[in-house]
Amino acid sequence: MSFLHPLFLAALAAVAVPIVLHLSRQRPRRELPFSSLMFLSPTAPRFDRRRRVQDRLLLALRCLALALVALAFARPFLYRPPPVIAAAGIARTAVLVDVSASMRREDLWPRALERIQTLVAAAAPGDRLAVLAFDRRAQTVVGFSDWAALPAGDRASTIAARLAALGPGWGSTDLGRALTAGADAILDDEADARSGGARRVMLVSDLQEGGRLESLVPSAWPPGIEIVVEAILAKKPTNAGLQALSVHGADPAAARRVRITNAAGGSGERFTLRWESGGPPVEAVVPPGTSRVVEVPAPPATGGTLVLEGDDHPFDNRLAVAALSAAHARILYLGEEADDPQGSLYYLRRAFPRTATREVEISAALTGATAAHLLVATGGLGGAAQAARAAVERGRTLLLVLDGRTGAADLRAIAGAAVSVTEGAAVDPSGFVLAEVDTSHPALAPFADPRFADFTKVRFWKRRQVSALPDKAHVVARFDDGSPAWITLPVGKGLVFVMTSGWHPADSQIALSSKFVPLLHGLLDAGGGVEAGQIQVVTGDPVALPTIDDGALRVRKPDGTTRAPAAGATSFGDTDQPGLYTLETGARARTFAVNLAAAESATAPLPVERLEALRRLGATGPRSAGEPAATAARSWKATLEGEQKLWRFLLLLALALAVAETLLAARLSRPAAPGGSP
Amino acid sequence: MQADRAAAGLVDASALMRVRSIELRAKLVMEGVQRGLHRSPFHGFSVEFTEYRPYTPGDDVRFVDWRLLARTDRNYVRKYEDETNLRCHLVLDVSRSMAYGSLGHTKGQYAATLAATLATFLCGQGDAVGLLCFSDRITDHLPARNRPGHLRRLYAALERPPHGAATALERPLLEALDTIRRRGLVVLLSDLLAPIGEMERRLGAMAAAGHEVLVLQVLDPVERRLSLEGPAMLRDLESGRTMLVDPASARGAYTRAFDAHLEAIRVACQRWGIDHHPLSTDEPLDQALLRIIDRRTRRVRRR
Repeated sequence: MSFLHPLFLAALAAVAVPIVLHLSRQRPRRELPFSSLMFLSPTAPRFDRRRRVQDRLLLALRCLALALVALAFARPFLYRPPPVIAAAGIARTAVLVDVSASMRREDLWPRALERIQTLVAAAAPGDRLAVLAFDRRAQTVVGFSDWAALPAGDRASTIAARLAALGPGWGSTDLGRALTAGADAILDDEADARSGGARRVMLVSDLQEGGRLESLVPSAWPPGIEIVVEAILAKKPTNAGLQALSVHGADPAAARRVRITNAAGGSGERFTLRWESGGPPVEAVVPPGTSRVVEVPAPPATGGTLVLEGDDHPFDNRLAVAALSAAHARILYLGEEADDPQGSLYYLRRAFPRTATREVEISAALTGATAAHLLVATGGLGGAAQAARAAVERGRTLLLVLDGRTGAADLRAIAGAAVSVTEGAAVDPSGFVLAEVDTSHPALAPFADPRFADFTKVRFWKRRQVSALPDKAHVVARFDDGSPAWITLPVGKGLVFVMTSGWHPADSQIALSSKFVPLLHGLLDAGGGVEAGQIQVVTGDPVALPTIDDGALRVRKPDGTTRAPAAGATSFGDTDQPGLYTLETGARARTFAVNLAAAESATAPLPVERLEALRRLGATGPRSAGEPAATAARSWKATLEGEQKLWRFLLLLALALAVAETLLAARLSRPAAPGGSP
Repeated sequence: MQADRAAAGLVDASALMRVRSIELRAKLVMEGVQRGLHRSPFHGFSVEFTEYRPYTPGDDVRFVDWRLLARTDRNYVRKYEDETNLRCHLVLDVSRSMAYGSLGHTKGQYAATLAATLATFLCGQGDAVGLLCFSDRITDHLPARNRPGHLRRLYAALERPPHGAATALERPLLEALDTIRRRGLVVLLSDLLAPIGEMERRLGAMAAAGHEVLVLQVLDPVERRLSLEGPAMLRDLESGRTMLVDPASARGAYTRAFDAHLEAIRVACQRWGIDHHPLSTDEPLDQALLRIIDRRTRRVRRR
C-alpha cells in the first residue's frame, strides 16, 4: 500500500491516547474518606476476567478507529506502474504551425520557428515528424514520408527553409480543422508504415480567441493521440481591428460606417481613423473587449484604405474600402414597345429600378443579344429567333411568355414540333391559382423560404395549354387544375423559362403581386454572369467573376501583380492579400475590397479552460511531452488514488467501529444484575 | 424494613437525622421510646452512699452501720443520696473517625442524638447528667447536674461536630476516671476503632471504681462490611493516610479482622461486667434505645 500524503501517518500517534487512558484506569483517582484504615492493607484492583476482556475489546475498537482515520487522511492507494507506452512502436508527432495573420505580430513567427527547430532537434532517431502549416486550411509542409525520406542531418534545415518561405499569411485561424488535419496525418501514416508508439499533435500557435474550434468534435477525436499546446504569446496586449458595415443607399458621397473592435486584455482604448489618401482623422474610444460603430467620411471615388492608429499591432489596422459601384445587367426585351399599363413592358421596366448595387438596362436592340444577361420575349421572337437561340445555347436564360397570339411557333421552334399549344378554356371570374411551385429551381430561389412560397393570392384568368413536351422539359409550377403554368427547358448551356400565362392585366395579376419582382430578379440571377455588387470579401474567399464574351478578364492585386483567370472561370480565388483589387474587363474596371476576417483581430489568448479541454481530449497517461519525471510520477499517483479512493472505505469502517464502541460501552456501563458482580 | 419500622411506629434513622435540632431529635426518639416503655428501668436503681457521720440520738437506726460499730465501737450513720437521683456521665467520642457516615448522617451525629436522648430522659426524671467529649484527650467536660438550663448546655455541647485527631481511648478514659468522682452511670459512646489493649484496662478500672459502665459502639454499615463499589483510594479521616484498596479483594480479610476486634471488645466488656451494645447507624434510634433498656431491665432484675 502506498500513500499520497504520508505525512498524515504521524496522526497514528493518536492511537496512544486511548492506550494511556486505559492504563491510567488501573490506578483510580477517586479518593474516598474512610473512618479507619486499621483493618486494611493495600490491595491492587483485581478485575475479573470478563471485565478485563471487555476493557481490552473497547480499547481495541478505539485504537482501530483512530488508526483508520489517520490512514484515511494519508490517502492510501495500491500502486501499479503507469502503462508503458509501447517502446517498440514509433513515436509520431504532427507539428501544426499557425500561419494566420495574427502571427505577424511582434516576433511571434521567429519564436514559432525557433520552437519548431527545438522540437525537430529533440526528435529521437526512430521518431517520425510531420509539419503542417495552417490558417483557415491546413497544408503539409513536410509530411511523415518526406521526413522519413530526408537524411537525418537535412531534416531541420529543410523544415526551416520551407517554413521561412511560407511565413505568416493573411488568413483567419481554424484550429479545429488544423487539429483534425494533424490527427488525420498521423492516422494515414500509421496505415502506411508501422503503427504503435506515442502519437502526438503539437500545436504551435498564438492561440488567439478568434481561432475557431467548432469543427473539432471531441467525440470524434481519435483515442490515444495526445494534444500538446505550445503557446507563443505576444507581450503587448492591445489590439483593435476594423470591419466595414454594409451600405444602404446609392450615394457615393455618403459617410460610411465602420466597426472598431478592441480585443480583450488590452490596455489602450483611444484610437484614430483616417483615410490613407488624406482627410480629417476620426477619434474613437473603445474599451478593451468591446466594439463601437464609427462614422467616417466617404472614401475617394475609386475606393481607399482606412488606417487605424492607437494599438500595439498594425497587422489588422488597414481596411480596404471599394468605391460604390453598381453591377450592370442587360435585359433584351422582345415584344411591344409601348409603355402601356395594359401591356408587359410597363411592368418589366418597373421591376428593375436602379439601386446602389444593380443597374439594369432593358433594350430591344438585337445586336446586344449575346451580351444580354436575360432575354425576355412576350410578343414572339420573330426574326430574333436565331440570335435568341444562339444566346441561349451559349448559356443565357430566355423568358418566353405565351400570350395567345405569339409564342407557340417559337416554342415549337425551340422545343420541337411535337409540342402543341392551345388556348385554355375561359373560366369563371375567380380564375386559376398556382398550386404546385417547385422552389428548388434556382430561378425560384427567392421563394425557397415557406414564408414567401404562397402563390394562392395571385389570380390567373387566361392561360395556354401545353402538351407533348419533350422529356427534358420540367414543370416547375402548375395551376390548381394540374395544367402546367411554368416550364423550364434546358437548351444547350442555357435555359428557356416558359410561362403559359402572361403578366399583363388581361392574363393575370402576377405583375401586381409581390412575387413579380423577386421572380424576375431570380431569373436574372439564375442566368448567371451578373457581377457581384458591393460585397465583403475576406482573404481567401473566392470572388464571383462576371461572364463576358468580349476580351479577356484580368485581376490586379493590391501588390500590383495581375492574374488572368482561365476562360470560363466563374470565380477568382487568389485573394490571399488584403487590399483593393481591380477587376479589368476590357472597357471597364471595377474595384473590390478584400480584408482580414474580423475574428483574426481577437488576439487575446484562449481561456485556460478551453486549453485544458484540448489537453484532456488527448490525455493518454501520465507522461506528457516536456513534463518532468517527478511531476509525472506525482500526477500518476494522484490519478491512481483518485480512481481507487480507498479513504472512503477506511472512513466508513472507522465510523462503524466508533458506533460499535459506543454501543458496547453503553451496554457495559449499565449496572450489573444482582449476583452478577463480586 | 422501613415499612415495618414505620408500622411499628419507629423513626427511621436517616429521616430523623434530617431534623436539625438535636433537642427535637431527642424528643422524637423519647416519644418513640416511651411508647414502647412501661416502666423506666432507670428509675431509682442506684443508692449512693456518700459519707459517714457520727450518730446522734434521734437518727434512724436503720442507717447505722453495724459493721463499722462492731469494728470501731463507734456509732456512725451512713448518709445516702436521694434514692431516685442518678448521676449519669455521657462520655462521647468526638474524634474524626466519628465523622464518617455513608447514609447521609455520620456516626458522630447518631451518637450525639443518642446521648441527647438519654440526657433528655434522665433530666426529665430528675437525674443529673454530665458530658465528657474526647478524642485523644478530654476536650469538653460538663459536670453532672440537673439545674435549669443544664440540658440546653448539654445540647449545645452535643451539637459540636467531631474535630479531634486520633481515637486513643487510654488517656481520655484515664482522665474521665479522674474527673468522675462520684459513682454513677458511665455511658461510653464511641466507634472503639482503636487498639483494644489499653482500652480494656481503662474500662476495667472504671468498672472497678464502682461505676456502672455502658458501652454503646456506634458503627456505620459500610465500614462494618466494607461494602464499597470498585477500587478506590481510601483516606483515613483521622490520620489523613491514603491507601489504594480494592474492596472486592480486601473484603474478606477486612471483615475477619473487624469481627475479631468486635469479639475482643465484647469479651473484654463481658469480663468486666460492662454492658456492650454494638449499634449501626441505619438502625432507628428508638429501637436501639428500647433494646438497650430491655437488656438493662433484665439485668437489673437478675441482680
